[in-house]
Amino acid sequence: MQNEESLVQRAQRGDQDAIARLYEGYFDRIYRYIALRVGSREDAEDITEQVFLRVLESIGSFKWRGIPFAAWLFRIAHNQVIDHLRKTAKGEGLPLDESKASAAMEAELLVEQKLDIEQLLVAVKHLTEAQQEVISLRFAAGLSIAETARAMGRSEGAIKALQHSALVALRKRLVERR
Amino acid sequence: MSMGFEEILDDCIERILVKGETIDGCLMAYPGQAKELEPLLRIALASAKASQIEPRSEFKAEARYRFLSALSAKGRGREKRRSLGLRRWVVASIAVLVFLLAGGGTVAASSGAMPGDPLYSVKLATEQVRLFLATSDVARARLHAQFADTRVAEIVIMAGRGNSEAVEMLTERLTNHLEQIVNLVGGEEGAEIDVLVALLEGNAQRNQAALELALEEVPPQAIPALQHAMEMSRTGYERAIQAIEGHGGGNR
Repeated sequence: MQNEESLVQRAQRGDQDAIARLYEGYFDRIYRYIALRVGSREDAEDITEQVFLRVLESIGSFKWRGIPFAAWLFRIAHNQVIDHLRKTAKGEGLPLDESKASAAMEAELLVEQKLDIEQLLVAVKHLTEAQQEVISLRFAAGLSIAETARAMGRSEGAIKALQHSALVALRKRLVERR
Repeated sequence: MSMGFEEILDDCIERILVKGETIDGCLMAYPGQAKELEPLLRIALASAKASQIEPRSEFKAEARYRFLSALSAKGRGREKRRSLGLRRWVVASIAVLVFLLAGGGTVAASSGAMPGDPLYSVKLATEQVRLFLATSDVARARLHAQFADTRVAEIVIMAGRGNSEAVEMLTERLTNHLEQIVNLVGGEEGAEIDVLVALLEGNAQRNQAALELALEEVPPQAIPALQHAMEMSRTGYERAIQAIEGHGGGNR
C-alpha cells in the first residue's frame, strides 16, 4: 500500500476515503490470519468484521512513532482471536476437530490445494500459541519479520527463532500424519 | 560475522516466497546447511498456501456494506455531508461488486426470491446498493419504506409456508427498516417529509390488512410468529410516523 503513513494520518483526521482504502488494503490479509488461527469460516467472518469495527472506533488513538500500522492492526486481530478462543474454550494446545475444519473451510479452498490446506489447518492447531501466531502472521497474512516482531511485541531475532521452531514442529506433525 | 541457521532459514524463506527463487537455488547458496534447510523450506512453502485462503465474495460484499454504513454513520456525526471522493468510490465499487457477484440478469431474477432461496442474498445486496446510490436521506428513507413493504409481503408468504423462523427474522428486518426511517429523517421538515408521512400511513394500513388476512389462512404453527409480526408492524409504523410528525411543526 503506497504512502501508508499519509493514508493513516488522513484516516485519523476522519477522511472516510482513507479509512475505506485501508479497509480494502488489509481485509483479505486479516481474514486469512484469523481463518488460520480459528479454523472455522463462520468464526473467521465474525471476528474479521469485529476487528474492522474496532479499528474504526480506535484509529484516532493509534500513534505512529515507529510502530507500523500493520502491526497495530494485527495486534487488534490477535486480541479478538484470543478473546474468541477463550470464550469458546478452544485454548492453545487443544486439537481442532478435523472434520469441522474440513467442512468449515471447504468453500474457500482451491480444489487442487484443498487437501494440503486442510492438513495445514489441522497441524497448525497442534503448535503452541506463539508458534501458531508466527505461522499465521508470516504465511497467511504475509507480514515481514519486522512487522511480525512489532505485532507480537518481540525482537526480530526472537521471531526468526520462533519461525524455525514452528516449522520444525509443523513438519513433525505433518510427517507423523502421513 | 557468519549467519546463524535461523537467519539462513529466514533468508531462504524471503528469497523463495518474496523474490520467487527456487528451493534448489537457495540450497546451492547454503550447501553446508542444505540437508537441514530443505525439509523446512518445503514446509514453509506448504504453509504459504494459507495465503490462498479467500473470504467468500458474498461475505466480503456484506461486510463491506456494514463497514461503510458504520463509517458513514460516524462521518455524519462529524460533518453533515460526505466527501464527493468517497461517494464516487462507494458508487463505483458497490456497483462493480454487485455485478461481479451476481450479474445483471441474476439481480433482476432475485427480486422474487424468498428467505432460503439461493438468490435471496442477491436481493438484499441489491437493496443495499440502492440505499448507497440514493442521493439524499429522504430518498433513503423512502427506500426503507419500500423495503419494509417487501418484508411484509415476504412475511405473508413465509407464514403461509409455515416457516415461523423466517417470519421472525423478517419481522426483525421490518422493524429495522422502520427504525432507519426515523434515524434518517427524524428532525427534518418540509414537503418531502409530508409526502413520506402520508406514504407511511397508507403503507401501515395496507400492510396491517394484509397480515390480518394472512392470519386466517396460515398453518397453525406459524400463527404466533405472524401475530408477533402484526404487533411489531403496527407499533413500528406508529412510532415512525409519530417520531417524524413530532418534529414536523404545523404542516401536518
